[in-house]
Parts: sequence; structure tokens; C-alpha cells
Amino acid sequence: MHAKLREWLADPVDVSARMVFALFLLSTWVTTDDWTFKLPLRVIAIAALVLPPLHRDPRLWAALAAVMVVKTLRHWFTQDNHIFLLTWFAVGMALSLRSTDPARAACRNARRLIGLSFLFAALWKGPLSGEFMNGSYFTYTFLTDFRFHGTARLFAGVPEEALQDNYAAAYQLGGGTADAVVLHGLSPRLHVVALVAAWWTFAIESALAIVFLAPETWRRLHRARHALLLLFGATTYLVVDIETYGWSLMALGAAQSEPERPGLRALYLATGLLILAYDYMPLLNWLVG
Amino acid sequence: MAPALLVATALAQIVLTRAGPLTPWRGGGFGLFSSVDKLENRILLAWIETPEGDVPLRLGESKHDEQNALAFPIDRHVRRVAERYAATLESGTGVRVEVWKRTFDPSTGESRRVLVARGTVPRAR
Repeated sequence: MHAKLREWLADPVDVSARMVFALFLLSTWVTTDDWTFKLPLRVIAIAALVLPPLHRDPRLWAALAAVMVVKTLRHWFTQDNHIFLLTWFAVGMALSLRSTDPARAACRNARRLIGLSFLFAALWKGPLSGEFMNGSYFTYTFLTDFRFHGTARLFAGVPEEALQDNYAAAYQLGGGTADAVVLHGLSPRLHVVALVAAWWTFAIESALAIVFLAPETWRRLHRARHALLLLFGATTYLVVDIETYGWSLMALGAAQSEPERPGLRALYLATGLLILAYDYMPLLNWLVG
Repeated sequence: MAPALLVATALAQIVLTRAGPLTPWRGGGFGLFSSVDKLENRILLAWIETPEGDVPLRLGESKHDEQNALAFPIDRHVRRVAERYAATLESGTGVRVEVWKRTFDPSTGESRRVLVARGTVPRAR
């Protein structure tokens, strides 16, 4: 069993590819319900998972990339950021697996994609957004976004009645029956929690951009990237239930792990499963009852 | 090539949010969780214009065109939604479609809707 597991985890491309194809097989969020995309994406995913070594065939990745590029072009203004990330990753895999050193090329691609995605995420939260670093975004989000219900109750102490009032007020504003509404539950504690959340997010995303984009010769910084990405995955998705994003990051993380470190791939896979568990079991909501 | 695609997309997204009405959350620029102005917070409203006054139009299920108009309400996207509704109109002179975004003032707790785009299309005859 142990030897079998080590064999399964031996190759970064194998582990990453299986994680990505599993996502395409299981998540309608990624494929959408539009059969023109869902059908080919599911067929590709099934073929990759049941007919190894098809999962590392550049032609299959090219097919996946082609479908994803068309899908991305169609839904450019509405699709989620991690679907773009998966699209560019598929393009990168299709090219990397044709190269003379596929594992190294795939590793470099995945590392740069992760680093760049965090670089732009940090840019948006820092200099580009005028409402993030001052806590305004998180204050609004804790008060109105039901996905942050547990966090708002547990950490910011927002009363349940205030949240229910706010959900109704936000709905009223959305229906066009009011020009403005006043949200309930503002408090100094909420302000502090919003500021901490904002600065923590900006700090960890900036750090991730730095460690993933740092040259390989900066060894200590370069090696720290795994721990930081795993920490990000294990903490962020406890609060934000977008498991497909978290799983995608862990799959890319596995792709850029050093071939001689199968333990890292086990950790990326385990953290991916933990992120799924967060989604299936709303732990924070249970804690506040 | 893949990293170059990501960078090109993200830079284009920054331009479209700065110079245009694209929500920071979409367009592949990784601006999610950075702004109150997310797609789901935008508001699409429509009215049938009549000589007696405007009548609110009940919108159906949000489809691709509506989502595009919400996320990136340029004239073409807003008019496309208005044209679709205008084509099915049995009375009135035309259809007006508006896209609004929300703002938030953390000092008072006030959340307000602000007009982003408006498009009017005459009834198809």
C-alpha cells in the first residue's frame, strides 16, 4: 500500500494532471451546464483518468486547452478567475508535455502561473482597489455575504438579527425598490476584524507572489513557496467556500513540486481534500450554531 | 506562453475596469474579493416605456446576455438585452435597461446603488 502510494505520488505531472482532470469530471462550476462545453470536457476528463498514460499526452491537453479557450472567449466577461487560470494551465501543459523535459517545463509554467495570479490579486487588493486596505470591502462583505455568515458571527460578533436584516436590505436594493439602505451590525470589533482580514490577505498574497516569482537561485525563498501556498489553502478556504479555486491552486502546486519530494504532493492533495471538506462541512457555521 | 497569456489578460482587465465599466471581479485579472462592485452585486432593471409613463419590466432568468450586460455594461451589451425584450413587447414605445452597481460607506453603513449604464431601444414593429 505504502509502495503503491509512493508510486502514485512519484511524478509531479501525474499527480497534478489527475487532480485537474478530476476537477473537470466532478465540477459543473468548471465545465458549466452548457452541454457544448460540458460534454467534451467530461469526455476528455474521463479518458484521461481511465486510460493512463493519456493524462500526460500533449494531444489530450491540447484538446482540453482548445475547448477551454473557446469557452473562455465565450464567457470572457463573466467567468471566474480560476477558470482563466485553468485555461492557461491547460495551454501550458499542452506545450510543456511536447518539450524535451516535460516535468521541468510543466513545473516552471505552473510556478509562474501561481506567482502571477497572486501578483495581480495583490495588486488589486493594494494599489488598484480604493476600498480594500481600509477594511471597507470586508466590512460590507461580512455584513451582507451569506458565505461569510459564520465568520461575521464568530469573529466579528455581528448579531444574527442584523445579518438577516442586511440580507433583506441587500435584496431590496437589488430589486430596485430602494435607492439606498443602511446596513446593521457596524461595531469597532467588526472594523478591527475587517482590517485584520484585509491586511492578512494582502500580506499572504504579496508573499506568495514574491516566493513564486523569485529566481530559483534564491534558494530559501524559493523553497518557502510550498509551505506558504499550503498555509494559504488550509486557512483561506475555511472562510471562503470556493473549493474549485482552492483545488485548482493545489493541483498547480503539485505540478511545480520538486520530483524528489513526493511528500509535498501528498500535502497538496491532502490540502485539496481539506478544502473540499470545508465546503461540504460548513465548520464556522456549526461553531456559531 | 501560458504566463504571457495570463499577464496579457490581466493587464487588459485592468484597462477595461479603469477605462470601462468592467467589474473588477471578472475578466481574468484576479480582482476578486477586492471590491464591493462584484457581478452578483450589480443590478439589472428594465422598464417598458409608454406615453403614460414607465412600467417596470419583470426580468426572466438571467442568461448569458444579461450576465454580460451586468459584468461589462458597454452600450452593445446593454442594448442587446433591451433589444431582446423589445422584440417580445406587445405594447409601449420601447424598452429601457439600466445597470447599477452598489457602493458602501463604512462610516455610516449606507449602501447605495449607482447607475453605471443605460440603454433604450424602441419597440420592434
